[in-house]
Amino acid sequence: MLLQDENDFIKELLNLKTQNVAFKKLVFDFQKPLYNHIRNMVLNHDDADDVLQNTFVKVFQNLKNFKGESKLFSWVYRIATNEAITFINNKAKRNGTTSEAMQTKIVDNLQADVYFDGDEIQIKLQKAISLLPEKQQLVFKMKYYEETKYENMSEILGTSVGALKASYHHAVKKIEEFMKKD
Amino acid sequence: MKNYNLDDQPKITSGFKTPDDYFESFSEKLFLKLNFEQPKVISLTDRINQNKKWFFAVASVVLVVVSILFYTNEKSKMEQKYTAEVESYLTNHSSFSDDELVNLLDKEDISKIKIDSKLKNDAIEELLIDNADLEQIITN
Repeated sequence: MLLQDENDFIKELLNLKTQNVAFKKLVFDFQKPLYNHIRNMVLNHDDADDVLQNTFVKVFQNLKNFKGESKLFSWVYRIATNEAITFINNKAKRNGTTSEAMQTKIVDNLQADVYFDGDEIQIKLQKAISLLPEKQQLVFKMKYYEETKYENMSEILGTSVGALKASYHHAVKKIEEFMKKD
Repeated sequence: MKNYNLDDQPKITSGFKTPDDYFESFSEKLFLKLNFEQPKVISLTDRINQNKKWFFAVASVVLVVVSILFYTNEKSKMEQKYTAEVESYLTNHSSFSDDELVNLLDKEDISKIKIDSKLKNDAIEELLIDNADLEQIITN
């Protein structure tokens, strides 16, 4: 979206008369990529559905607080990312485990998930990712699966482009090590 | 140990999928939650629960009115049936003489009897001459 178009769209989102129509457009534009972003983090479809809904509700409720200091895209993604991280931590706490252990368990059982139809290599990559530190997992998924630009990722995660590149580089090395094992 | 370079490999997708029509139903569900859509049609049960007191008050009044109408209608039907039966009995089975029947009539009944004013005076006179009893009844 061009900057001028984005400014006009933000005005429509903030104007109570045009808000609902504009918000519907936002949902239709964002729901698929945002779902993929959340699903890559929480792994399970039902959880992704919950987090996606909470994300949009939060976006709608906080529209009046959106000052346009960051791009709409990165603001929405930041909310989704925070919602997903909070969800994972709360779920792990409820199950009396750590978020890392819980995510590893979900990946180990991916084949049983009706909404996962990956083959052996896809499962292997998911396992390799699950062994990475949390931040590297997120950076790798956003770069490799979602093909997010470093500049956008930097705005969403509040991390410098250089740090993100380094993080991705480390992640790729570890993943390649894991993938070449039979 | 062979080398593995992620960038040289065909792109590996996540393997995640969604239920059919997930996004259509997702946005519908979301807009309902945010009260964007027309308020849903409130079912009768919901209406009753919301206005319980009024519903039962109105229902009671309706019940009473319907009962009264039903009762009046049935009563009227019974009376009609009863009258028809009495008439039928008197016509076909009664051994009452005309005099006895006339005696059973009170003034109000007599006033209700339609008199055929088309009867000519001559005919009435002739009738009275032939039926002395009748003349006596009328004058009484």
